[in-house]
Formats: sequence, C-alpha cells, structure tokens
Amino acid sequence: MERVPYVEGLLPETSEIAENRQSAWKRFCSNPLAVVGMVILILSVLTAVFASFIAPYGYEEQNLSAMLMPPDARHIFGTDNFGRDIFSRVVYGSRISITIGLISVGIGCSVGMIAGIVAAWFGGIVDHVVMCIIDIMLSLPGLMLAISLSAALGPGLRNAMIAVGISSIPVYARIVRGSVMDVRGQEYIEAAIIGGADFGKVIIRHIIPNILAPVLVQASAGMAGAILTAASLSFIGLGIQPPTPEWGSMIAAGRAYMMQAWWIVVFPGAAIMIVVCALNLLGDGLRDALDPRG
Amino acid sequence: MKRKNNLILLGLTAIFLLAGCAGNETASATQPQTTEQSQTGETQEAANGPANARDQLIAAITNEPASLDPQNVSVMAGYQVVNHIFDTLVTRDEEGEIHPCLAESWEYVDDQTIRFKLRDDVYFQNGEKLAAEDVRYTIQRATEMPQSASIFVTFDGEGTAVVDDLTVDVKLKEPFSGALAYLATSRGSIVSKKAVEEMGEDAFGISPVGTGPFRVVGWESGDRILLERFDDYWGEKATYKDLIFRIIPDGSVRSIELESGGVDFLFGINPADYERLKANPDLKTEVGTGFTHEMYQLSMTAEEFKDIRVRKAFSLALDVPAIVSAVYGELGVPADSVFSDKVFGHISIGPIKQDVEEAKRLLEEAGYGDGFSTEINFGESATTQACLEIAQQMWEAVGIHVTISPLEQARYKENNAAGITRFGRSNFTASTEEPDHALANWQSGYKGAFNANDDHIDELMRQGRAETDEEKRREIYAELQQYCWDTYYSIPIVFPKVGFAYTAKITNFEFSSSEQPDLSHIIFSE
Repeated sequence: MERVPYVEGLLPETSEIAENRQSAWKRFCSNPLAVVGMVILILSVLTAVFASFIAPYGYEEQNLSAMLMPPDARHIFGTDNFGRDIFSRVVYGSRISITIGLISVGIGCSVGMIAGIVAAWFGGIVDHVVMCIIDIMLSLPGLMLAISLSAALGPGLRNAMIAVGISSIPVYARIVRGSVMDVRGQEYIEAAIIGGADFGKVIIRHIIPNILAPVLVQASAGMAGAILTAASLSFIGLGIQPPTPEWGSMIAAGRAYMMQAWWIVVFPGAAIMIVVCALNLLGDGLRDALDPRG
Repeated sequence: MKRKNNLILLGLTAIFLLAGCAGNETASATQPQTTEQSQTGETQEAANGPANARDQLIAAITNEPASLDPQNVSVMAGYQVVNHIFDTLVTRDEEGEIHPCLAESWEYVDDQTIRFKLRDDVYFQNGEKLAAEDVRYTIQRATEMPQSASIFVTFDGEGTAVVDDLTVDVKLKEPFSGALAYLATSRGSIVSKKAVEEMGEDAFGISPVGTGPFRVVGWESGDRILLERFDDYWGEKATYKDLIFRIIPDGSVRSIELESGGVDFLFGINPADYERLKANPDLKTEVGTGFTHEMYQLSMTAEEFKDIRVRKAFSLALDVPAIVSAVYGELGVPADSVFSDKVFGHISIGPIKQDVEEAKRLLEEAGYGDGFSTEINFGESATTQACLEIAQQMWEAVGIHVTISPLEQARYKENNAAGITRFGRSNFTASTEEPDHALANWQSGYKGAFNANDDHIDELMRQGRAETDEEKRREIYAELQQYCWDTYYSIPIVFPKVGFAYTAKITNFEFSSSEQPDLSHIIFSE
C-alpha cells in the first residue's frame, strides 16, 4: 500500500489553513469600520487597566462645594450631584463594564457551548431534553430573564454578571449545537473516532477549533449586549449599587438632574454607546472576515 | 447592508451628543419670559372670576398606598387621598385652632372624657346616616389597628361609649391635652361601621366608605386612584367632579408631568427640580415649614449599638448641614433637635457638629479600631438615598463602612415591626403639632426601626401628656429633647420642607403644613 499520497495530501491542507487565517486577517483589516471598532475596544481595555493613572480624581471622591459643575478645565466632563468628577467615574466605569462584559459572556459562552456540544453529540433524548430547556429560556426575552434572575439573586456586581451570563446561554447553545451537527458527520471526525480518540479529545482537538468562528462572532456582539443589559439592570436599580461607578447606574442617578446638568447622563451614555458600537463593529468585521460567504 | 447599519449607529451617537449640548441653552432661554407670562395669567383670572373652567383635577402622589383605610394607612400619600374621602370629628387649622367638623360641639365631662355632639345631616357614601356608634367603633378601631394603635395609645377604646344616636363620650386612659389634635388627624377619620363589617378590612381598604367630599370609584393598581364628587356631601361640595391621583414615585418624572400638563398638581417637589419649577411662569410653587423630621436610627436591640461611644461616633462623623444643603437645597433645614421647629415645645440643640478625630477616637476606644461594618435599610426614597451616599463617604472617613440597602416601603415596615432592622431611617410627620406625637417612636412598644426601651423617655412622655400647663409642658419636652439628643440613639438629619407645585391655572389652593391639603375647593381658570 502506498502511504505517500496521504502525506502529500496533508501538506497542502496545512498551508490552506494558514492561508485561510491570513486571508481572514486581511479581509478584517480591509474593513475600516471593523478596525475602528477594534481600536476603540483596545483603547477601552487600556483605559480600564490604567484607570487609576488616567482618572484625575477618585471615583468616590465627593466635593460638596463643586456640585453639578459644567465641563471645564478642572473637570472635563463636569461633576455630578455630589461633586464627583464624571470623567474619573466614566474611566473607572470602563473597568466595571468590561469586567461584566467578559465574565458574563464567559459564563454564557462556556455553559452554552457545553450544552450545545452535549446536545448535538449525543443526540436523541439528550438533545431533546437539553434543547427543550434552551427553548424555554429562549422564549423569554433576554432582558426580562436577566431582570427576573437579578431580582431573585439580589442586586450587586456578581449577581448582575451571573444574571446577564445565564440569560445569554441559549444563544450560544443554539449556535454551537448547529455547528457541531455540521462537523459531526465530517470524515476527519470519523477518522479521529476510528483512530481511538475519546470523546473529550475529539471535542477539544477537532470540534471546538472548527466551531470557534461563529462563537467568536457571537461573543463579540454578545459582549455588547451584555454591557447594555447590565447597564439596564443598574438603571432600574437591580444591578450594581452606588457608589460603584457603573455607567448604567450613573445615568439612573443623573436622570433627576438631566434638565439642568446634561453632562451627568450624556458622558456615561456616550461611553456605553461607543463601547457597544465598537463591539458591534468588531463583531460584524469578524463575521465578514471569518465567513466570507455571508 | 451591514455597513449601512453601522453608519446609522455612528450617526445616532453624534445626535445623542449634540442633543445633550442643546439642553442647556433651552433651559436658560426660558428665564426672561417669566414676568411677561405670569402677568397675562393674572388678567385672565380676574376676567373669568371664580367659575370653574374644568371638571377634573389630576394630582400626582409619590407612592401607591397599600390601603385607603384611615386607621391602616402607612404612607403620607395614603393620607393625602384619605383626606378627601373621610371627615374627622374636628379639624385643626394652620394656626393650630380646633374647629367643628362632624361634631358640631364638644365639652369635657371630666378630664378623661370628651362628649361630642354630632351633626344631624351627615351621610356616608353608602347612604347610611352617621351615628354615634360609628364614632365609637372608629375610636375603638383606632386603638386596636396595628398602624394607628401606637398613636392612639392614650385613647380608651373600650371605655368610649354611645350616649344617644348623635352623642358620644370619647374616653381617655389618662388626662391628655393633645386629644383633640389627635382626633383631627386623618387617623381619626370616622369610618362607617356597617361598611367595614360587611366588606371586611381588606376590601374596605380598597374601596373605603366615608363621609367626605369625594368617594372612590376606581383604583388602577400602580397607576391611579379615581375619586368622584360625593353629591350628598353635608358640607361645601367639591368645585369639580373628578379627582384623580396618579401614582408617580419618580420625583423628576412628577416634575416633567406637571410641566407637560400630564398632571395639574403635585405633592412632594423633587429638590433637584425646585429652581426650575419655581422659574416656570406657567406653574406655581408653595413651600413652607412642615412637621416632618428625618433621622437615622440605631436599633437598641442590636448588640453592636449598645455602646454609646459607637453611636456617638456615627453622629460625629457627619457634616449634617453639608448633607442637607447638597441634597435638599432650599427644601430642607438641618435638624437641630429630634423633632421639627413647627412642633410645640421644640428647642434648638444642634445640628450635630462634625468631629472626625473624636469619632475615630471613640471607635478606637470602643474596640473598633480596625473599622466597623453595618448596613442601613430604609423604604425607597431618592432623597434619603442621596443623603446616605454622602453620609457613607463621611462614615468611611472615620472607619465606619455602611452598605446602603433600600427596601420596598411595605417590606421595610414589616422588618421594623418584626424587629429585624438594626440600622434604619425614620421619616416621621407629626401632623398634630404635638411633641407627644413627634416622639411616638421613642416610646417602648412602638414598632419602629429603633427600640429605645428607655424608662426615662417613657416617664417623661407620660408626664408631658398629663401636664396641662403650657409652660410646664415646654419644660418637660425641653428636657426630653435634650435627653433624646444626648443618648445618640438616633442621628437627626433634616426637617424637610413641605412643598406643592401646581399649574398657574389653579386658584383657591390652601397650603397645608401637614402635607395634606384639601383639594376639593380648587378653582381652574382656563
């Protein structure tokens, strides 16, 4: 039996993957909006990491003699009803928002992936039960599910992340299930199974790398959704509690002063908008780059 | 397609930012018009005379009352509605004078019995005629219902007796100079015995039956309570047909509703909006001293607050005038005693003088050198929350870490009654003007946030009630205020002012320091 063709066939495949990756990156870079999104996101992450160096004041620092000051040289975003520097609060707020985005997407993504893989891999009754639960969760609007969970768990940063994370599980589960079903019948999977690879190995080595693209796209857009949902929760008092400078709760607190001090709500509002917008642009760019057919 | 969406998103960002910038200009542009428009308003009013141009008044209240049963109301918004459905035996005017209402006359049979002669022409909204038995039943009920029992503690419900159909002897457990003032509060509203017994307490709380100028015709939970003029009212009938109370808990939303014409009248001006409402030529605002005091209370059943050094540190950490001025502006004065200066016998002791070093030293001495952590609970209120957020920073500076946890009003009251609250907030309105009323929650047995259970306070309260000589009463209450202040059981913060705002089309409105104005005689000019 000739073994050479097998080796010969393998070589072009490897280079094809590398080529694919390269062309995906090229496609991504040729999309200016996606690049803008990525740059904004990188800047936001840097802001969050170096918040204590960037912010001129502490986020809790009150100055009752400088309340509701409009933006000027000392307070470039103005001050709120307690005389706190809004710029500093928006800067520190990026920490909270990005943490919420990452962790809740992490929760949703990991649990959703497990559920999706298990359902698609085992099929039959397992698939039926898992997807039934996912469908029930999906029948509730995400924000409503998050509100109910948050109300049940109680307000606070940790619970808000859990609530937002859980409410995003069904989306990931569905995407992953679909993708796994797509690749499950492929020959290389069968080959791996015949070759004696166990379930875990097949999943980690062969399935996950092949379904990562749609999950990545969903995660970037999902992070935007998670930040918005968390801000909404804080706005109605179920999320992060004061004096933590979460953008949504800053808008809620500033709403009472909106008519005479627009800057209290506009800057955190703009911060949410810019980050969410950047994540959406990035998500769109990723989708276009990773799935050129779409 | 995707790109197009992205561009739209970016466009929206820009619009949002620009809209924010424009807001300020509009606000300052309205200023110069003030005088011009208000003059036009006055001329119209003079031309139209007192004829009512509208048959409906929409008023905004701050919370949804759980019940409209006058002996079971627990929030001010409840009294503001109940006030229009019921009458009391007597009324008290702004000067503190007592006037006849359902009772046309009264006399003291002895110093523990007041004999009331009732009017002969009063009918309840269910068609029943008012009888002495209704009054007896109401007094007994007021002494027994959990919400009002602590206020009617000196009234003898069992001893109160019907003399004849229109005469009733109201009995007191001990001589009490403030008895008539208590009967004049909404808690003393006379209910129809037949209606309560037939409907049951709960149903009566939802569609109560009184003798007042309006009757309840509907209640859309979370939205509005609908009242309609009671045409068989014995007194001066209401000047319009429908009185609608809209439930709008958010202060800034209330203000905007008034500005945009969604409501005609609002209770509880949001301090942040006061300047704006005052400057609006289409609106009128009225502000005055009230009977309310707001304080933070340390429960005396909580082990950690038994040490006076800890309690004193909580007080000394705060710069009360700064908190009040930041949150209330013109609509509140820093508390200088344990009850408002509008209440009889008030003396000025404070406000608390901030002393951060002393507070730290006291905590250290009490064994909390590493810091002290606790949680404060209160029934949701934006102003309380704002005050606490400032206080939280001040406490933090001396090593007291306080978590702020607002609760739903009803749940907070339940927690208090169950003795769960360790650190809470009391917002108390002593509408009788009586110091005995103002200090009701300092007495043993009161189901509030702090259970002082202090014999000395109980004893002085007893003396104050029994004393009839005005000077001696003042002395007793002065001693009591000083004692209460020095125990640091509570941290007096603010005496909020009473404020109402309404459309300039309204005339004939009478200000009420007790926050319960009678809206039945309001006149609209279009």
